[in-house]
Order: sequence, then C-alpha cells, then structure tokens
Amino acid sequence: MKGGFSMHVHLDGTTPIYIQIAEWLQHEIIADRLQTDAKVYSQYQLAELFNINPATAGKGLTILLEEQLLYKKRGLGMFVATDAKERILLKRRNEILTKMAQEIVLEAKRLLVSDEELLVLIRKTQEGLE
Amino acid sequence: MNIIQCEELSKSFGRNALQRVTCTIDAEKIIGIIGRNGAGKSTLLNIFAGYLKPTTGSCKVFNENPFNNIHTAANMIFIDDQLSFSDYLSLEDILKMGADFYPNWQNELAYRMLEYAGIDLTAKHQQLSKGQLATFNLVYGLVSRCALTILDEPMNGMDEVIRTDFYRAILKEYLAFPRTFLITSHHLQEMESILEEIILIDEGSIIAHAPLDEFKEQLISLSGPSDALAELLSETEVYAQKIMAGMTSAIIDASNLFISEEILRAKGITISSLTASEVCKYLTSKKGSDIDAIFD
Repeated sequence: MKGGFSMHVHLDGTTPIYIQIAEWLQHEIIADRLQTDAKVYSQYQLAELFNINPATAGKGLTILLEEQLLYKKRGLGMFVATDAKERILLKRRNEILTKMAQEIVLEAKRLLVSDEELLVLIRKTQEGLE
Repeated sequence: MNIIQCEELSKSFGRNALQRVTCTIDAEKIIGIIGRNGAGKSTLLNIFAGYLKPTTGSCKVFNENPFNNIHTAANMIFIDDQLSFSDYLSLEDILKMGADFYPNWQNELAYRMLEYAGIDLTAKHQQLSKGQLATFNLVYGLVSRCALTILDEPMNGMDEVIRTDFYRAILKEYLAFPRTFLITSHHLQEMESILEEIILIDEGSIIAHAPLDEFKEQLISLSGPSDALAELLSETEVYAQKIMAGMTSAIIDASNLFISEEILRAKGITISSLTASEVCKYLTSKKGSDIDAIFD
C-alpha cells in the first residue's frame, strides 16, 4: 500500500468512469504512447492504475473494441488497430469540435456578442497560441 | 454463478425490517449496499451471514440455508463494529486463531497492513481506539480471503487518509484473489469507483440493483428558464425541483426524456448527469420532501 499510486480520472463524479477510461485510452493513442499493434493495458492493469473496478475498466476497453480502434488476439490481449489514431482524430474533429462550436455560438448569443466580435475573438485566440 | 439467492424474504421485529426481498448476488463482484439509516441493510446482511433467520421467504448462500450453518461460517466473514474477541488475547493471538480457522488466511499480509496502520500487535482488542479497531477488523476481514466477505460500515471511525488507503487495499485484494464483497457505507462517493454493482435499499425493500453506471444514468437533471421547462415537466414524474428567479432545475427519469439534447439546448435547457449519491438521495427521499420546506 505504501506509495499506493493511482491516477485520477475522477473528473467530476458525473461522467461515467468507463467513458473516462475510454477517453484516456484514446488520448494515449493520439499522443503516440500507444502505437499501432502495441499491446493495450488489460482491464486488471487499468483497475490497478486508476483505482477502479476491473469490470468498469473492461467496459471502457469494450467501447474501443466496438469502434474497432482495438483488436483482440485470443489469449494475448488487445492491441491498437491500424489507423486508430487517424480515426480518433477525425471523430473528435467531427463530434467534439462541432459540439464545442455550438456551445460557443450559443454562449456568445446569450452574452450579446456579435458575430464579428466572436470571429475576432477566435482569430485573436489563434494568434495568441501561435 | 451466483453465491446468494433470496426469494420473498421478509424479516419482522414487531415492525417490518425487510419486506419480500428477492435478489441474486453473483460470485466475485464488489457490491455496494446503500440505504438510509434504518432501511434494512444490516438486517439483510445478518441474514446472509446466517446470524438471523428470515420470518418468511427463503435465503440460500452457497446453495444452502445459511442459518447456523458451518459451511457458510467457514466461507463467509462478517465485519462490523460489533465484532468482538476475547479480552485475554493479544492482536497477534487473534490473528493466529484466524489462521487456524480460515483456509486462505494471509498472515504475513495482516502483519504488513497493521504495521502500515501503526497498530501494535501486542495490544488487546478492547484497548484500541475507535479508528484502530475498525482498521484491525477490516484487516482481519481482508486477510481471511473468504468467498463471501461482508463489510458493514467498515470505515466507521477511520480518518480520511486511512479510508482512502483501505478502499485501495480492498480493490488490490480483490484483484489478487477475486471474491464477493458486500460493503455498506454512508460515504458512497468514496467507494463508488471500486464497485461493480450497487444495491439500494429503502424502507425494507430493494429499490434498485444495477451496475453502477446504469444506476447513475437513470436520473438526470434539467435546468433552464421555467416557462421553457413547464410543459416538459408537466408530462413526467419529477423527483425534485427548485425554482429561483425564473429558472427551474428538476430531476427526472432519464427514460422519460424523449427530446434531443440539441432541441433542449436551443431552448436554453441544459441536461446534466448526477453523481451516484445524488441518485440515491432522490430515489430514497419522500416525494416532494425538502429541508427548505421546513423553513417556509
């Protein structure tokens, strides 16, 4: 128990843990820490790492398996599929960015920010990051 | 494979403590038993352990009637704050007895955990502080490695640091040696991440038994302008509702929501999820009851 280190995925207590695990794994793939054909953590390793029930960790892995971002080798475990990274990036661009854009536009409306002002703000943010 | 099966189980002590409880508990899962004070959690666990006889209905543990059953006693351990040992024995002697009785006993692990918790093995059980007592009892329960491990409020009296450590200890022990854990606690939030399932008991009945995520997703919170929400809320059961300055937030059953998130968002209504302990609170509080109402 000493030095019992566990990572925290417990962001807010409301997002289901298995979804947070699935997102963390996708993040590892995007960051190249899990590359094509690399062996992925088992549900027991994830349980230990994140201090969660192994069944919950298993559900997180299942999400990636169903999206064919991982593949199974019988008796050996799960591995990262070819193009997994590209497909995650594409999906994030389509789903997450669209949703975030909707939220920004709605919030701007509520705050009475004009379209021009919003575009200027985005441009400025981009410049700030470059 | 299931380890416990009960059907139409009732227990009455003059008043009804349990009413027609039917449930099946699978082997090798960590299950949280949640409920308000006096809901019937301990009564149910005592029946599983074979310490109490049901008034009516049946209960099978390892396919046998657990009451006064040596087979149950050898494969089950029940830890609560009533656990008592002889006043003449040191903790070391108590561990020795455990090693003699339980076939999977891990004596070395017991020593390591107690040393970590700073508990002196030469002490007597009744000399321990409340927190130390709870820690010792929990260690005793963990190292016995019984197929059915029942922990009734195991963390009562422990400080937060040691509680966090020992939830992790439960998980690690489970990974090393899978078994069924039934754990009750008033601090669901502290233990929910290690749970696979939750059983919610209210007024002597099981009102929910589900995987933790499904349990959490059954209720949602809607908030937005009161007039935009009024129609929607008139058509569905509302578990709780707060209105302030023209804004309403309400808790409803997720399966009663038929409108997409996009449409709601366009009306200024946001959907948010609840924590497991919030879901417990709304499912077990009397409809419309609210502490605020007392002060009106």
